[in-house]
Amino acid sequence: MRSWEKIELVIATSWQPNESDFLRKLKIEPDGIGALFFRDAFACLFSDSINAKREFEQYYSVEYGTLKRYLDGRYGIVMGDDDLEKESIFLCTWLSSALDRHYDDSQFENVMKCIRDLESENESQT
Amino acid sequence: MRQLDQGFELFMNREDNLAKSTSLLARLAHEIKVKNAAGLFDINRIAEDFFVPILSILYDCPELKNQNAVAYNFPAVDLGCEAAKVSIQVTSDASSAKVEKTLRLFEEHKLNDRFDTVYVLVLTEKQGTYSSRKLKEQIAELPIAFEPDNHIIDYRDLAARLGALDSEKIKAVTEILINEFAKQDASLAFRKELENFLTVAQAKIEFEKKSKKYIPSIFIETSSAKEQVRFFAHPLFFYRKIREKLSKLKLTELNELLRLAKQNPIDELPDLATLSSDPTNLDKLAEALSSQTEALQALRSKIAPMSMDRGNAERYEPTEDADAYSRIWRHPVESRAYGFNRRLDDILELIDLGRQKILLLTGMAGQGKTNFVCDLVENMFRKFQIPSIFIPARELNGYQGQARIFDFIANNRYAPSVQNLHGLLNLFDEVARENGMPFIIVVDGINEVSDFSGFSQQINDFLSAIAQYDHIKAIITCRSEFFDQRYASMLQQDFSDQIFHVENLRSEMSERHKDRLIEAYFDYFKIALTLGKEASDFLRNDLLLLRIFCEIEEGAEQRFVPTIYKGDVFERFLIRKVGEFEDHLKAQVVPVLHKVVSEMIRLESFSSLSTSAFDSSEASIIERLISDDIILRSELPEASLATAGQQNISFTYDELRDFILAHYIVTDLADKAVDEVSSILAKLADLQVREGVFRYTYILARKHGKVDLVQLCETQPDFARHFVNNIELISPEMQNDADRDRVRDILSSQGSPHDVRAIAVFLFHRRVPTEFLNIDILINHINALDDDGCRQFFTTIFATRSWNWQNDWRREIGRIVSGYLERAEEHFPPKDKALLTFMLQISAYADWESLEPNRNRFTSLMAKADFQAQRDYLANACSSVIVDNAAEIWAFAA
Amino acid sequence: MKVKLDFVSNSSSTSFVYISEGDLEKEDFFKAAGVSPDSPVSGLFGQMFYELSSRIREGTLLSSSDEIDDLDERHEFTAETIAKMKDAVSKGQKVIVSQLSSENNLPEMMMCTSIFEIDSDKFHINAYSNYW
Repeated sequence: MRSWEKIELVIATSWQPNESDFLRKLKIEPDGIGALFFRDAFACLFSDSINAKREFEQYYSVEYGTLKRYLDGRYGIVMGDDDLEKESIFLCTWLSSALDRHYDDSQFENVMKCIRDLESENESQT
Repeated sequence: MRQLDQGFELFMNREDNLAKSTSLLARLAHEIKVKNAAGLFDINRIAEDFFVPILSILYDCPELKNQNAVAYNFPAVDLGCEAAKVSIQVTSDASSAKVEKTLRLFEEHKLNDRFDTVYVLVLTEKQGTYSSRKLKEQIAELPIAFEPDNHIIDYRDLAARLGALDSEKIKAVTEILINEFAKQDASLAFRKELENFLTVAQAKIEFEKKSKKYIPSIFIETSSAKEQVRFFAHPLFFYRKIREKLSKLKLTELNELLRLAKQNPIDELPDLATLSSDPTNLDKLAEALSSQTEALQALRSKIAPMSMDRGNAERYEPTEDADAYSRIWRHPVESRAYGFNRRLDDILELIDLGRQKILLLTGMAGQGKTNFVCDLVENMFRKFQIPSIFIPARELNGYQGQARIFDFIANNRYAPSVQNLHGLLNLFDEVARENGMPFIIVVDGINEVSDFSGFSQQINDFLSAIAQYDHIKAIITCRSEFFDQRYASMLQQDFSDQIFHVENLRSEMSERHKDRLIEAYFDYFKIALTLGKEASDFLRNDLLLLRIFCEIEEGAEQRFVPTIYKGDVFERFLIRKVGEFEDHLKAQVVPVLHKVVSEMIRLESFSSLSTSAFDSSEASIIERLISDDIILRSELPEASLATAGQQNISFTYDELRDFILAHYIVTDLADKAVDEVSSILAKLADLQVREGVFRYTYILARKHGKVDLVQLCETQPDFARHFVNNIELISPEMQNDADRDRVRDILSSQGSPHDVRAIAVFLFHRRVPTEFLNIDILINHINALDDDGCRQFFTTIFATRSWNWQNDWRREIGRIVSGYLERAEEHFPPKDKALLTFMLQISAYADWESLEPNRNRFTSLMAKADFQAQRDYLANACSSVIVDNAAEIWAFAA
Repeated sequence: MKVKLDFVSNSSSTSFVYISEGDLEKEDFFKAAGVSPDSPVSGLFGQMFYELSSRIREGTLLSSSDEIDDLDERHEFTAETIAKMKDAVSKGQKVIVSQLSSENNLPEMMMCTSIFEIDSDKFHINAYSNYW
């Protein structure tokens, strides 16, 4: 906690993060350097990131009252109601190199699309 | 005849009952939040039954029953009254999804046959808005009416509804609530008195609020300080976060590297699982924290030799294949080990915070220490019901003797009868143990205690006493300069290793934070103004100015504020401050301030002044201004015997000081001794304050019509430079022809390019045509320049200071015009004709790459509406380049 | 951007070795990397393949055990890798040593700053070195 957590990216999704589904959607085998790079991407987006809803419910609901107020007061993040209603809200404190938007070859958009696709697959199943 | 516990009186008075109910409802909501957060949801079941009698009164449903008792797992709603046809879903899930589900089930099970109305009672706190699309759709399909604002309720709605009922009903509800809490509290000793005692003890914050030292809800988390206090103040609740972080620690990656390097892996993490069942009370917590620290330190030492920052540990020597290790593997292993230990350190810090006894908060003046601790007590402590006391240290000045702090605490109507400090602390320790939360004593602003040498000893003794009790903690705040000079001994006591020192309260604020800050201030001061960009920029980067501005604009109704004129703001602020004093003192305030600045002039020392030259009535006015902390604050005198017992003061805000200096010169000296002014200005020549004083002197002199003084300023050798630097201070009402002439002269002068540029930029931003100084002057100036003149002028105002400045001014023009065109195309027609004219003028001189494209875009725009006025005007420009460019644009626009 | 602390690598260039009968083929690279050609992120790996092939083309072809011993970058390879290289040379396979830089583009940077080895029946690449 030496440095204040800066949030690099916010992902609101109703897809339940699952590394193998993620890799499968990206058409990457679980071994090999493809997986090496995109496991990192999964980690920074989901496993390593802050699960905001859960964090709110478990620790900050008493002080902040509502999820909206907590995101705003603690992180300065403002989100629309529809996003707030999603199953999970992930706050990423770092982004792996494959997702670095400074580069031309960044796979950020492709990965985001992949997540959105996983989300709609999920929705059509329920 | 119902038995009521002593101490919880049922008031005869309707208002008191209502207040009591409201506070108990809030308390219940908070308790449920706390329990839910800790994963304890039984309380929700209990709450269902608990609310039945209350809701039946509030919503007039005499037969309200728990439907789950009627039919097991009754769908959609928990409570129902068939007589009134009212149903209520009781839940702690505030989400739209939950409401939507409730309504969906209601519809599916055709509950509208039995109930006309459905409410969703959120036990914790409802959302601010319920605008989700899915919910709206479900509401539309519902056979009965449902409005989120009316039908989704929480404790605040219940309190509001209660307020509309008659006394009998209010009394009935209050009784129910009191009884319920009395049952709960009966097992806690001292609880009733304690509540009253704490209420009084915490009421000290009210003064901070009234004096606006503490503005509620302004505090935003801009640093890790608040999070650190969470672990310090309520370790039992936040312990789970530590456990979570521990469970996320993985050695797999480090071990993978070690495996590749043919080294022995680090053993699996010590069995943190045994440490992971959450302790249920403070004593068990202390044990858990202690053993965790040991285990983690041991792990850390194991890894340290492999890490980059191994400190004193010996460097790790590979057991196998040493050559490959040092060539290839050492570095990646060191990186990974370092990262792992960093994570460990973070966790160790949180654990440490849980164990520490004293939180020491130091920082420069104006950093928001008081705001921080008041927010802590009011929000966090109150919501968690952490037993705490708030002591504004300056109030200790009213107590004498060695036992000051004890006396202060004991001076409370509900104070327990104990003989001495230890009696009190024993009691607090018990309370803490029973509540599962440390008892926290907050002493705010110890730098405000005048007898500091005596107090230094006392506070150390006090902290030493606290340190002897397991479950009592202290939070101390102090201005850092004062701390270093007067209280540093605190860090060399036997309890010093139990101090957690926070030195950095407010780090960089993001733009979003600044926006929120302004919103919160405006909200608090009930200001309905809309700020223009310039005004907003001023305020967002200068908290003191923001505060001053809010004070003078308190309650302001809707109007647009394009920019802030500091001189006006300061003057209005002074007037307001004077107004706050009692009638017989009003006349003395400004003279006292004048005396302060005249002393500063006499002694040629502007950063700090001794108060020895002031008599007692003057000194008391100074004290009041200090307590406000906006105009004056107390300072450390030079440390020497001569200054022992002396007090120094300084101005909180340099610019305000300069303004008051100027005010003194203009309203006092100028009439009495104008030559003195001249010598003062000369004296100030070499000093830093010169700029500020001069600028305000000039402004005020003009405002108050002191002709001689105005002339004196205008004949100062550096007047031109000052004029340029401070031109934005001249408010529209003050602007005159002379200013316009001066501005024109500067534009035409061959003099300092800096001045020309500054004036051009200033004029560019002034778009109000009725003001003397506005963009028209700039446009007219350009129109009167020939080709060479234009080139020279534009080079001056557009050249950036890069190596390629000769050419880049054209590119700069191209860029600016392109940007303008984009906005103009989006928001056609352009309302600001002057700006359009300016852009048309300069675009003629853009770089060759943008010249043609911009011209074409202009053509399209000009074709869409009537811009004859602009066309004619540009046709008369002295620069043929401008004329030709314009002609081409309109040639194709025809 | 916060770089994942436990894998700080400020390398500006690292060495790698490529061993194969022939040239690196795109299909083989994708297969060995475990990435499907119609993967949403195939573009990135396509670029990686391109960079890798270019670096291999620019690399140093080793044709004898002595040359391997005389290599400047020898210190960046484990003993096993050196042994593999020597074995390959003796079998008449291509053994090429080259550099990856972290400053040119994303795909190359990603490879440069990672520790990896690709082992397929068509080729072998070892990029363990992480020169500080």
